[in-house]
Formats: sequence, structure tokens, C-alpha cells
Amino acid sequence: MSDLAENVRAAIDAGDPAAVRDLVVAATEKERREIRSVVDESWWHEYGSPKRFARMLARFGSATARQVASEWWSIDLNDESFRDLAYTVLAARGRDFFETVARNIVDDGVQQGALLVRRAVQQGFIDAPPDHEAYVRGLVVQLGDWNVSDSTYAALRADPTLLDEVWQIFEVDCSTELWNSAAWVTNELGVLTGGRESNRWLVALPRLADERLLDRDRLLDASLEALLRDFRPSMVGWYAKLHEELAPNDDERRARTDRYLALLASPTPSVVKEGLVGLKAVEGAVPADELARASTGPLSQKQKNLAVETLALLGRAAEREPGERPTLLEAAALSLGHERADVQERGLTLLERYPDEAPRGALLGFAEVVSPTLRTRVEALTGIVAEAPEPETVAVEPSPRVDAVSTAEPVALQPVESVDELIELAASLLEGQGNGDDVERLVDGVSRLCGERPRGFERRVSGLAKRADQGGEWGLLSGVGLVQSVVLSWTTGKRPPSYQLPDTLLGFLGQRALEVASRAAKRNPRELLALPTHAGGWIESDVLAEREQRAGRLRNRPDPADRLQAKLRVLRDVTAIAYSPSVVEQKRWNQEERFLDLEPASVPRDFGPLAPAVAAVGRSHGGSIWLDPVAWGAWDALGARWCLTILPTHPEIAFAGAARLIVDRLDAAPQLYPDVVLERALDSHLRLEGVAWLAVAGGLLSKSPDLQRIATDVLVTSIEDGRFDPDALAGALAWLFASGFAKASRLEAPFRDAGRISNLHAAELVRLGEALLTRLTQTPHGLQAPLQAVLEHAARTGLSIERPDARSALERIAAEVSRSSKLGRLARSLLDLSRTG
Amino acid sequence: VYGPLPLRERAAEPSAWELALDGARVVFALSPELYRGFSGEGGVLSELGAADDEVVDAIAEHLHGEPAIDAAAVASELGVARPAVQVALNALGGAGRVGYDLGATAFFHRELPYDRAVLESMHPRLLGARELVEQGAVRLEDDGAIVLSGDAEYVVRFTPEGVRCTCAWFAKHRGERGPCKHVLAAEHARRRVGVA
Repeated sequence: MSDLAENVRAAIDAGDPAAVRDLVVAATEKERREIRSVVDESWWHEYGSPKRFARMLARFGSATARQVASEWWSIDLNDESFRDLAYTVLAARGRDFFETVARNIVDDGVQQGALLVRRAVQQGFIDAPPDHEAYVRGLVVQLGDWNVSDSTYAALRADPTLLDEVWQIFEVDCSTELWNSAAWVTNELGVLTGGRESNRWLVALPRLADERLLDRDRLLDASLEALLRDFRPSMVGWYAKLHEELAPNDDERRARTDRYLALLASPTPSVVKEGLVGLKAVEGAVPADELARASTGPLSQKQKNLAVETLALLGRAAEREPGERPTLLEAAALSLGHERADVQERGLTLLERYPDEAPRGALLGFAEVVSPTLRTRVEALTGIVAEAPEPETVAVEPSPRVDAVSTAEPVALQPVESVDELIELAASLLEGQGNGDDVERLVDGVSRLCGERPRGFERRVSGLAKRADQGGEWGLLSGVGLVQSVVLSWTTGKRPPSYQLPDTLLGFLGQRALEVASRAAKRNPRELLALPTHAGGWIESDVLAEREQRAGRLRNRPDPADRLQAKLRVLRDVTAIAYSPSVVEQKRWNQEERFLDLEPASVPRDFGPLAPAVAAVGRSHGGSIWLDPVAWGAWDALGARWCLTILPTHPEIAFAGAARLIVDRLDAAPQLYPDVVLERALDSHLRLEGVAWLAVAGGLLSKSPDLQRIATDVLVTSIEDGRFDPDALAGALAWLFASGFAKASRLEAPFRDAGRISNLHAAELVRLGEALLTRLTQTPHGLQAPLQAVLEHAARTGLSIERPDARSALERIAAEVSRSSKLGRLARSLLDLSRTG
Repeated sequence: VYGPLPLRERAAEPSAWELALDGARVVFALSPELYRGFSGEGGVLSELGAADDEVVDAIAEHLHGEPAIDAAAVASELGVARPAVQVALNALGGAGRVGYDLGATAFFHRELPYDRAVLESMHPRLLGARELVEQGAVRLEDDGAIVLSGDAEYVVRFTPEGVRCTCAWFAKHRGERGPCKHVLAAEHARRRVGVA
């Protein structure tokens, strides 16, 4: 070991970063490289320890630029004194070195070194930040401490030159970083104990404006201009929040009326909302014709609040300025085309206030699209009775129920025949394309053809091997990861990893895949028993019998997992597993949370060693989704689709897994791909029973628009093909409400949209609403939303709520709430409809 | 007026919808994903590479604001095969000199201010394909080609069901977003040796 290396090691052991700096700066680049053998990592010591800082400096002074950048996660550049030391050492390595490090640690994924880079620019060491936008975002992240509310203010106050740079946050989209610049609640020991206390940038900027260190007018303008830029819609609302934090007075608002009006044209709801807030504050000064022109924006948005706010503005303007009423009322008439009947009703109420001035021409255009419950009121205004079709009671009878088909689907699968075909299939699966049957064809193809090496094989598979060698995000917990292992072993002869796979359904598939990979690496071919003969994972029993005849008895015998899988795929005439739902309550992250638990009545003996994994599918772990075994699904869609082929006769197992995944995360994005199971439910041959409807109900109540859309598709399709069971779905919905999992307001869009498909759909939605009412022991929050849709569909089809227990529920609900409440009015309307329908 | 049949195994694809009014037709084109826009998604790349410059120029000279170009009549008038006219019209479409009327299922003449050479020089897949051919990276076989790209080889096969490649791009999009550069290179190489 060189003297320098020994001295550096001694300085690290002594926890003396300054000494390390001096040693490294004084050394030549050749000498610095010698230290690498002493300091091969930067993260050995605990955070905040002087030894850690000393080691990091030694690493900065000896490693390559890329190595330094790759260890960004261990670098703490928030400490100002360490930042000084780090800058000196990195600058001593030269400009190219510094720029390489800077480029990597200031990029969007890291955002660690903005202040370091800023210093280099200020000192003229480099000309400009390597990535300007990432640099600005990095500044937002780095200025301030995560647990001190006024720390960003203090950082800006301490460096007047930063006050010139601050305007860049309005030109570069930093909205995500600005939202996340929270000060979090900690205890006296600095340990996180609660949620967000304040937003540091929202504290800093108004305060600096109050102290006249920042131009208030410019801040007001810049915040509105940022809203008009093409920033991320889900986050841009931060700039609106800043605008309101600045509390503009009436004069300041009036001076910006044109910009508030411009905000109404934005496609982003939070931006439109800010425009309405600004206009409302100075509405007397807003020119009526400009308000009318701009109101088309919010009235076209699907959000109810935007349309209602706009109608309120138009209504007050119409009252204030009688001469402008025709223009204002014509604009208000647009609300009759809104997708929500309650918005249409508000617009109509405004128009009815001035019946003599109602824009009849515009109203006629909406006569056919307005909710059936409002049609007569529109006709009263126009004086023309539209030729609306009479309610079609004939065409609304549901088709006869078809018996759910549980036999093999008709689509036969063809085994892979050649190495070329196998290459194409593998290339497709490595990109996550295809389904579980495709994976099975690949596994079988590799198993049978792995001994073949046609001319040019290595060249032909070189692209595949390269792709398969790029580690998947979730490794063997994903379908693509398992495919990669099989392909890599087949194409390169590399042995597959010898991990212990979890005792889950995906683990079972992985076990089979790795067995094939292991043989493929040794070019030891074998026909598999478990290759499906038909789409969905099915095997014809006579085909399996032939395969068993051909299988080796002593040598090259079928793997036990292959044998079990084959047996599970020929099962017929089985009894579906019944599940009992219950709620598991658990405290997680300081919050009480509820989880769904689905206990199977019994698991068939045929499942053999797979039975525990099947039994675990619906059970609640009540813990972290990151740490628990993946009982159902996978970390990619291909893996989830593959799981669907394990037990084709028992689709209820997949539905149980999906129901748990959906219900446990109703207010968040779904994980582990339960949507794949709902997509499967679109197949008219698949029976939908008990737990399947629980999964569909969860999907309808999910906050995720993607999941809700697929669940709505299942609703629509099942009505068309006769699988729809309103009582089962209503039972599942009612159970979820009673168990506190969800509010009924989420049903608004699915109930409305599904019922608008046809009269049959409308009729079945009325039946669903009726069935739901019979099951409600209490009135769930937000029930008015689905009831509004049910009323609309009932009016259209001429149907009524007839079941006595449903009528009793409506009477109870009407008695529970005030007469003027929306829920009360809806309940009475539904009851009245019953009498007249 | 345009759109694939909604099949479960297919990903979302562009579609166009026509609103028939008295004296006018309004066409709405829907992109399956916002970021994809309406670039054409490489759908005419093969034609851009395959078009015969002489035929393209000859057709271009014949354009006089026709609301619907009769490809058969043009082929007859110029004395060239109908498929060559079709390819040339596609190339002119890419160059902004003709548009395609989905309702009438025919090209119509209109000029946009950019030329075909600019478009061809801007498209990375087309450029990449030409580079591969010039490097001699394409080895033709009976029913396809082996294309050496980087340090890996990709198998391109021409089958009655369509062309296929073993690269990641093709595997991911399965031809729905136009041919990959290996397919374009193989097509280019086949044309060079006179294989249709």
C-alpha cells in the first residue's frame, strides 16, 4: 500500500474529512487511482458520521466519475460544510470529471447535486448546468430541510443571488418537486411522527414578497403564466395554490381578469378552477360577453364543480346585467349537454328563471340529449314537444341466462414447430407481449427443441440472448423475468439461478420454467406433459394420456411439477370453491387500515402440494405488499396472465386474488395486475359467480380509472351475454359499503355509462339499483350518485322500482334526510316513478 | 370509417370517425395514446423506401387539384403498373403533396410546404435501414434475410401472413407501428437484387 493510501486510510479512521481533502487535492491523478484499493465503497459508516464524510471524499478523490455518480444514493450533499469539501475534491479531478459527475447526479432521477453544480457555474469552473431543467428541479429539491418549515425561506434569504434564479421555477415544470417540498412533522428527536406540516416553497415565496425581496406583481403574474404552460396536469395546481397564498387584493385581481378568463380554456381542471376563483372574486368587473364566451371551457369539463361554479357566475351576471342575458343564457344552455344530469338540472333551473329570454334555438339542440327526467321541462321552455320515443318496455327484457360454460374453449393451440418459430415467440415474450398460453408454448418449445442447433443458431439467437441478459425489473417475480431465464439458458447454455422460489402460484410456474431452463442449458430435451391443447390452459385428457404413454419411465421422466400442472389442466366437472369475505383491521404507518380476507371453504385434494398456495390467494396478510409473498398475480402483466392458465377449471381462484388486490387498494393504483383477471372476465364463456362479482364490484368502486373502465366493460358485456347477475353484484357492493371499504359516489360513472349503451343495459341497471336498495341496511355515503343514474335509466325505459323491500328502503332513505336534500328528492322521484311508470 | 375490429388480443390502435352533415363531412381521428399523435407511425415507410422516383415525379406533374385521384386511370395514362402508382401515391402522401380521403377511399391533391427528401432524411428507421444496407449487414436468404445490427443478428422472414423480425421493436409492436429498420433494410436489399 502506498504512503498516500495509508495516510488516507488513517484520515478516514480518524474521521477527518479535511485531511482527506488535502491529501487528495495534493496528489496526482495516478496517485489518486491507487487509493481505490483502500476505498472501494463510499457508504460504510452511518449517516452523519465524520468517518462517512471522510470515506466519501476519499471515494470522490479516487473512483472514476461514473462510479462516483452511481453511488449518488449514498452521497449526502445537503450538509453545507461537506458540500464545500466535496466541491474542492471533485474540482481537483478536472473539468471533464466534474461534468460527468454533475450530469449524472443532477438528472431527473437523482437531483442531488444542484447546489454543487451552481457553485461550479458561479465560479466559472463550468459554463452552465449540464441539464438546465433538471438543475432547476434539483434546486427546488435541495433548498431547505425536509422537517423545517421555513428552511427554504432561510436558504433563499441567505443567498440574494438565488432570488434572481427563483423565477426559473415558473418557466421549467417543477410542479412535482414543489408539491413534494413539504416540511414533515417530527418529534424532538427528529423522528418522523406525522404527515406534512407545510409546503416550504409556499411558506418562502409569499414571505419574501411581503419583505419586498421578491417582486409581488411578478410573482402574481408568473404563477398565472405557469398555469398556462404545458406543465404536468396532475401537479400544475401548485402554482394556483401559490397564487392564492399571495392573497391578491381586488385591484390585483381586476388587473388580471383577462388571464383568469384565459385559464378557463385550459384542459386541466385545477387550472380552470383557479380561473373561476379569480373571476368570482371580481365578478362585477368581468365583461358579461367575455364571461359567456369563456364559459364553454368549464361547461365542457366533466367535473361537476367546475360546471356548477360557472353556472353560478353566469346566473349572477344575468341578474346583474339584464341587457346581456341572451348571451349569458345561451352560454348556460351548453350545460344541458353535460354528461351529468344534476349539472343539466342546474343549468335548466337558471334558464327557467328567465323563461321569456331562454335561448330556444340552442335549447332545441339539446332536447334529445338531455336526461329523460328533464325533457318535459326543456319542452316547456321551448314550447315544442320533441318526438322522443316512447319508453321501450318491450326491448328491455334481458336475454335468457346462458349456462356458464366451464369446458375447454374452442381455440386449439399449436405447439412450436421450429427453432425459428421459437425465436420469434421468445422475442415477443421478452417484450412482455403475449399471454399465458404463449409462455407455455415457449417453455414447451424450449423443452423439446433445446437439443437442436441448426446452422447459424448462435448468430440467430444472439439478439435474443442479449435482450434476455438485461435483468428484468422484478426478476423471477415476473413473467418476463422467468422467460428471460429460460431464453438465456437455451441460447447461451448458462445455468439458471438457483433461488428458492416462493410457495406461490407464480413460484410454481417459475419452478417449472427453471426446470426446463436447467435442462435447456445442458441441451437435454423432453416433451412436457403440461402444454395446453386449448387456449386458457386446458388439456384434452386423451392428448395427455398419449403424452404419458410416450414419457420416459426411468430416464428423463416428467418433472413432478410438470405432472401436477398437467393433471390440474385436465380437471372437469369440478365444484367451484366458495369464499367467505371478512374484514381484517390493522394499524399500518400510524393509520388504521382495512383489508379484505377471503377464506376458502375448502381446497380440493387434487391440488396436491399446490393446495397451500391456492388457499393463500384470497387471504389477507395485513402487511406490506412489498414484503409479503405475491399470493396472486405478478410484478408484470405477463406473469399475471400466465397464472390464469394454472387452474382453468377454477376461475374463482383468480377472482379471489383479484378481489383482494383491488379492494385492499381501492383508493390507489392497483398493484400486481388484477386488471388482467377482469379482462379475462370479458370472455363470455367464463362463469361469473360469488367472488367474481366481488372483484367486479371492487373494480367499479376503484379510484383507478383504468380498473373502473374494465369493470364497467365486464358489466356491459355480461348484460349482453346473459351472465349478469344483479343480485350477486348488488350483494357484493352492499357488503363493501357495509364493511367501510368504499363510498357509493364512485358508482356514478359506471352506472351512468353502462346504462346508456342500450335499453337492455338501462333496464338491467335499474334492476341492479333495485337489488342494491334491498340489501342496504344503512344508507352509504354518496348513494345519490348511483340513484341519479338509476332514475335516468328508469325514466328512459319506463321501468319502476317495484320490489317491496326496495321501495321500503327508498321510503326509509327519504325519511332519513331533509326534503330538500338531493338524496331525499331522488328517493321520492324513484318512488313517484313507480306509481306512474 | 377506419379502424381495426376491436379484438381482445390487439392493443389500442388509431381509428377515424366520420360525421356526415348536409354538404360536409367531418372526420375525427383518434390516437390510442396522447404521446403518439398522428405521425402515421411508420405506416408508409416501406413505400417511402420503395417508391420509384420517376413514377412519383410523373404523377406529381399530373396533379391538378383533383378531389379524388383515380389510381387506375393514372396507371393507364402513365403506362405503369397499378401497384407502382399506389406506392408512389403513398410516397407523395408522406411528402405532403396528396392527402387520403378516408370516406372516399381515394387520394386527393393538396400541397403542404415540405418535400419528400426532407421527410426521408429525417426518419431514423429509414436512415438506419439504408446504413445497414450500405454496410453490407443484410444477408438474403430464401424467405427472408439475416440482418447484422450492432453485435446481434436479427432474422427477417417474409411470409404469406406478412413480414416478421426477431428484434425487440418488432416483438413489442408486431408491425402495428410500421416496419422496423431490419425489415426496411431487408426490403431494400431485396429490391436491389430484383426480388419483389
